[in-house]
Amino acid sequence: MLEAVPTEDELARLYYELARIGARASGDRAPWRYGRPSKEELVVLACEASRYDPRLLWVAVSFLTQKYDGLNPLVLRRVNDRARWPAALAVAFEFARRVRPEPELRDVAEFVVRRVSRARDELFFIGTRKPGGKMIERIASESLAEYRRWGYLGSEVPIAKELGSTVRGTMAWAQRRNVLLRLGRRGAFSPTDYMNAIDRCVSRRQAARDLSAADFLVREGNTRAIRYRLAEPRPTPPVPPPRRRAAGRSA
Amino acid sequence: MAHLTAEQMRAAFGALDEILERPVRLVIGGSGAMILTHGARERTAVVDAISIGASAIELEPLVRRIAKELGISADWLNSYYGTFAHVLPEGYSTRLRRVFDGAHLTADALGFEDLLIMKCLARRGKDVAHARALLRLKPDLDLVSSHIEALQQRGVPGATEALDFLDDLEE
Repeated sequence: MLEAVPTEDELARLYYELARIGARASGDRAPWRYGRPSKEELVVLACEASRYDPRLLWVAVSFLTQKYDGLNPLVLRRVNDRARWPAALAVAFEFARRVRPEPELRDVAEFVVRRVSRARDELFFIGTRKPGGKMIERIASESLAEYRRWGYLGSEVPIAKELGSTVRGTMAWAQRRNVLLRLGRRGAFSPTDYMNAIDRCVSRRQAARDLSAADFLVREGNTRAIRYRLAEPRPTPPVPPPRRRAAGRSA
Repeated sequence: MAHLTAEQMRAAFGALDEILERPVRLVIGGSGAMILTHGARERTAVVDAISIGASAIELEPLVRRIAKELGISADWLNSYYGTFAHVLPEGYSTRLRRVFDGAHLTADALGFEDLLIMKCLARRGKDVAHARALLRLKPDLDLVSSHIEALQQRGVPGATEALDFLDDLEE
């Protein structure tokens, strides 16, 4: 489907075509290489192009949430089989299902992406963060499960406000633990700081369990004055299995 | 389309430099970096690059125009490489080697350690020969392994397999 990095004109046309099929988007009828794609082709194209233009993922998730019943699942599946990045559609379905946790959408999504392979543990969005920077490190360490499930790394929840949803992304314990480590390295923090750092993706009760389970933290104070900080010495993350290599091998 | 030589890559950078209107930096990885800094291989299909100062979308029309002008592949500049930028260490920029310095465009090749880290994380069959060539250039292997171990401790996917890949290379 996506044949090359999209140009600004091609993106404007993609938004235009998406609007024509009822997506919340607006664009221009600029020239492009994709002819007159079907609805299903547009959805796949939008998901792939969203890797270069993140707003398109928001558009695709909204469309799948609200209009999935206007798509032919078999056609969508076949079109997606031809995509360069078929797992991108799977990510969009993950978030659509979070917004609309209904059996029918679940069944459609499962059918469409059943044979899709995971990507190669790569950033979902291309070129949006500075290499070697803190933000890119955070995305790699604290990626949402909706991306990780499909071999991608991402921390943004592509759910438009217009959907009126309070749904958050899902973060596994390993990633939440990385958040706790990051907060601890910055100094003392409150349970609310932790909830905010994980975008309230777990309940208060689960957050409290996380804080108790984090053996590298110590608790200080009580009730509203509770703060957590790193225990001394600094935490050692889980010890990986012994390696075959001998120590001290400078080349 | 024929693969690119170091000379063709520099010609393409020169052409890009001429039509850019603001400063852009390319961080080159993969085979392109090896060819430009060490001549390890003679040709590469594409130049793997992370662009700083302009997005892939902004560069795309210029890339296509240069491809036409020089008769090289339309996707000669591969921005997809940037999806693996999360494995680069914080200090990667101190090891960059300048390979092109124009009025608007500068291009820096990743250091050998950083190239090896990316090869280990990619860990494809086709990366083995290239990674072995990097080992022969005597990179700081402690830096490479300690960084991949740090990625492993942070739960970055693929880091454990990358360490195994490095072990196998060294044996």
